[in-house]
Amino acid sequence: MRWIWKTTPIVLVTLAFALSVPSLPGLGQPAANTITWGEDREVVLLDPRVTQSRHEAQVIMHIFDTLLFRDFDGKFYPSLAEKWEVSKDGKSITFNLRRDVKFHDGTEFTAEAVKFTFDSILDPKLGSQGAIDFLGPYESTQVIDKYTVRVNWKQPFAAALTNLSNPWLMGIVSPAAVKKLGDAEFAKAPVGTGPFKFVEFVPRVRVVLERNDQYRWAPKAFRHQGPSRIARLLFRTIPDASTRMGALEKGEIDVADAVPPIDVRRFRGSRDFDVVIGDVSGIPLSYLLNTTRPPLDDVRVRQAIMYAVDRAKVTEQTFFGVAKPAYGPITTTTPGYWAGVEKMYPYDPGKARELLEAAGWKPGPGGVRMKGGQPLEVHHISLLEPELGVPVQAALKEVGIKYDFETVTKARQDELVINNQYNVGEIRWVAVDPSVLGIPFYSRNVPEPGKFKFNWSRFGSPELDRLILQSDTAVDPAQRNEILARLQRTVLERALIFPIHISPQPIAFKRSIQGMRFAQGFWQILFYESTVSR
Amino acid sequence: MMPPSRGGVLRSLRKLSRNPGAFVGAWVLLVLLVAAAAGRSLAPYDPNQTSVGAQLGAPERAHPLGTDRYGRDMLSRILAGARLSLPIGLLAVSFAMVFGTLLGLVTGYFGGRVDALGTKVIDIMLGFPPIMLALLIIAILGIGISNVVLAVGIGAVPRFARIVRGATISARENVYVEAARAIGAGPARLLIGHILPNVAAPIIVLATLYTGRAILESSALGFLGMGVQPPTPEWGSMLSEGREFMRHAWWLMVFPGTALFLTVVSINLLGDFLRQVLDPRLRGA
Amino acid sequence: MSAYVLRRLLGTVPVLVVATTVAFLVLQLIPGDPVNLMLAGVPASQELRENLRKRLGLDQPIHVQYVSFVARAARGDLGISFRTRQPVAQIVAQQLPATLELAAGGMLVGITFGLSMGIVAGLRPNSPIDTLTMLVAIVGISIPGYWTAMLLIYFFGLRLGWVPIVGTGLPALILPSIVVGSFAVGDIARLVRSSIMEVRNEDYIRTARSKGLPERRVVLRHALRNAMIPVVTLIGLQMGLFVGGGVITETVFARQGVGKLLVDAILEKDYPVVQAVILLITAGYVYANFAVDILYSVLDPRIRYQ
Repeated sequence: MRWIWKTTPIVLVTLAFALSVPSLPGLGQPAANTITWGEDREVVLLDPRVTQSRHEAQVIMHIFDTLLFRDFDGKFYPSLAEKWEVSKDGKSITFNLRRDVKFHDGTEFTAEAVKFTFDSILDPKLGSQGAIDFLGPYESTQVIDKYTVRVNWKQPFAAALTNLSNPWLMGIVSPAAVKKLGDAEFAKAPVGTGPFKFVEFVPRVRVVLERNDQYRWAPKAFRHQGPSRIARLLFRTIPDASTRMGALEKGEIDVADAVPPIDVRRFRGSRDFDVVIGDVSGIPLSYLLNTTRPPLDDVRVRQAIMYAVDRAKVTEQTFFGVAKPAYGPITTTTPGYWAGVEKMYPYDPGKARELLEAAGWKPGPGGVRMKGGQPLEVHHISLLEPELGVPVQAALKEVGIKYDFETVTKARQDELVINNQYNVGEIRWVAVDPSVLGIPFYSRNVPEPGKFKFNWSRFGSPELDRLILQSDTAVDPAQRNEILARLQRTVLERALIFPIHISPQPIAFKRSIQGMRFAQGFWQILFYESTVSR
Repeated sequence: MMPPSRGGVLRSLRKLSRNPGAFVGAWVLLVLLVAAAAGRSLAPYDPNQTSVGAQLGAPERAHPLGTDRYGRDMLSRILAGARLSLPIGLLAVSFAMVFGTLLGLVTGYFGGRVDALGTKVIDIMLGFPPIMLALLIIAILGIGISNVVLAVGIGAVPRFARIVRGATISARENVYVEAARAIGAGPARLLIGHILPNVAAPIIVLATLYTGRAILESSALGFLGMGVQPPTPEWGSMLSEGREFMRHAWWLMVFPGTALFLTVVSINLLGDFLRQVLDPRLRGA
Repeated sequence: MSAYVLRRLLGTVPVLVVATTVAFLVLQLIPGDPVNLMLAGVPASQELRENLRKRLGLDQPIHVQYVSFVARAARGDLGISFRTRQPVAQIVAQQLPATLELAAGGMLVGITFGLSMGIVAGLRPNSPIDTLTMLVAIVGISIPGYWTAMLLIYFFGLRLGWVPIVGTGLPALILPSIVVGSFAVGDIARLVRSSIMEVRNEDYIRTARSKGLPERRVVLRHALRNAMIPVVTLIGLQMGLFVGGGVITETVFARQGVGKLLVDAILEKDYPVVQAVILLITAGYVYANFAVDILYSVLDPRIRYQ
């Protein structure tokens, strides 16, 4: 009888191996012409009007189209709208829509659908988390006739065209489908006009899309037109980076999102894989310096910090050469970037020490400067990138600053921020329009109990507010760029923000896949014109 | 039932030398303690100094245990980590010992409704998977070493309470406790003077056995990123980095884990031995 | 018998009530406003946040929130997740199979190896096999679970490629089950071993032996049954360990599961999910204990009449 105990484990293990055979690569593969994408965060809903997740956006942008398309180089192309005209007062845009577009459920795309989509975003019952703010000072949408629509804003909205082209948030939904399913169910079984139709959604695990054979209205930015050559798109959630890389190597996925910098070299040099790196646009990973609490209430101390850290070296070391350092409040890939920021705070520890001395901080015990019996101690709360902490700390120690790096949970960060109990906080904001600068710098965005906003430097001045408002309403691009340049210089002169590095989005993929294209913002990939070669 | 006498200690030590497991355990632990205590002078580099070696450098003569992603020497960091992991475990166990004993004594002695309430609390706390209880506590108190100690300590309290309660209940019926009560001794006197010495043995055994577990639990929290702040070295958080770079730098994963393992296994071997020494009078501690 | 069962069953209710209350209260202590957490990173207007707060019922006083939670839970409605707007019951139901899978796998590994090693060691005390078993047992409880997981992933997943690391099928369950099981193997093996050693020398065993029955039969038919009693209790108590071990293992293997769900929900202050999961886990533990008690009373009839 004892033999049962001894053999059972052996039987079980053999059984397990036997059952594992079908899942070995090479056997039971998904059909050709399928691309499997490994996503690093989970997807829980697929409604562009509601979502605020970059990861959900990766799926959403294949199911829906927007009125116009903006390529990663900033140029606009017609999409669902054939042409558009901005009114002289800048407060409304009239769109002439295509007439040959159909939703996946067979219903026609008309001006009604546009009005329905935009108006529903404003409905509090929908619970929009992202789109609602992208509509800006939205007033209304008028249906002029079946294929003409006018969108009105309460004041001139410089970001209007860019925002309406946003593929994450401004996809046009099928009114018939929403009315039939209700908002909650629609988010799990979306219907749009895009090159791929929804097939299956297992929340947090996978999304399956298949080709829309009726698709003939692709923006002309793409060289390919007509239905996609890819039959199926499979999005799998694999949050753990090494598991995701392992899955790519073994062939369980074809494209991997968010490749850890250290793995980039390996995939780049390999025979079967390659890597493409996007420099994500918007606000780079930066430190916001709280101007209301000592010791950072003194602008000289803030500036000293910015001179004391060699950003290029820290970025190179921490990201193994994959990320680029940042010197301004918006990245090089964001429209309106002013190159003058690169000259403003070069690495200069000598200058940093000078500033600290001038501010009254003299060298003290243990290498930490003192003033009036107090050590020069700075409290940094870290949620986004704690791995930068070690080199930054070391650099600041060199000039005599004791930099306390506290890793926090989101809950704790919020508590500290709202109650003004920090010196430095971290920010990073993916965006395609420079209007994102209002988020950390507008005076009304200072957080306080009951109001969670992002002006964590807690600085506000009428001058700065005016610059921000002007840049948001200047519809003429040249004028806008000039205002933006002034804005960037001002926030750096006052040392409100300490930019560190541009976030890289490294995507590793099998060389058999061609025709991938970055969506605007350089965070997601569009597969519409991809092909899989044998 | 009294703790072993002086002659008994000598006998126990001789027994130790004959029990291979405990013997090895004791020596390993001694080495680790010495390394921890003398760490600062033994370590070839400052554990927090970046770029003393290559980034993610493999083990070599200058850096026998390799270097991490910031170029810091792993040998120095692991030695420094010992100075953290051992005290954390001991502190957490001490915390649990104090409060668990208190809870156990009170519920075991007074019985009735106090006991009913106490046992309910103990049962609920025991019902929680230990990691989740610890995570909840960290979520309330925040990330940090002292909160890790608290989280692990609080998680251990019910175990101590349960043992102490059982021992208290049986000690309560003891002849000379009744005698003392007849003379008019108050509950405090009884608890501290008479009952406590009797429950001492199981407490000691549990404390020894639990120390290893406390060290593991606190390092697990460190692994999840709930423990130390940079740049402090701690074995659990070092293992987390080891996981991130598993495919490129196996030494980041192997050496801190080995250190943890050796520490805990030697404590457990010793604890087991201790339990055998005190065992004949205990059951299922 | 049924009176005993009923009594135990009734005894579980107060524990559940207390657990729910505690879970609810504890959550109030965690710092951070859930509305801000949900919308963090999004430039949402003040009005939007107020609307959301009202919709989620967060502007009500605490006792009102608690009562409504309990009332809805009794109806089977566990609320709507703050983060994903999906019904919590659905979310938990989706994550539950993965956790149960892992717990079952872990239990299988733990019991199989724990039992077999314990029996062999118990029957041959002080033999090399015994020492080996004891060694394995000690190692099992001294090794950090996440380290074992990492080592296994490294050798069997990455280097040798024998088992897949990602996935939801049976093969992907092998490594995680081994890890979860290893937590319990040590304790189970040691308990089985000492139980068997104790029982071997009991009178009734000697009687059976003197009757001329083969040793094997003596042990397995008579000894084992009595030796199992404390073991069954231990396994019941280990339930918490299987689910708890699951949290770390789920993290390292990047699996779905209730443990991971709970961790995320705690960090994001997703009240409804945390409350539901805590309730679920406590209920699971309580009823697992209850099942163990019943099993215990079947094995040892004396218990029923206490």
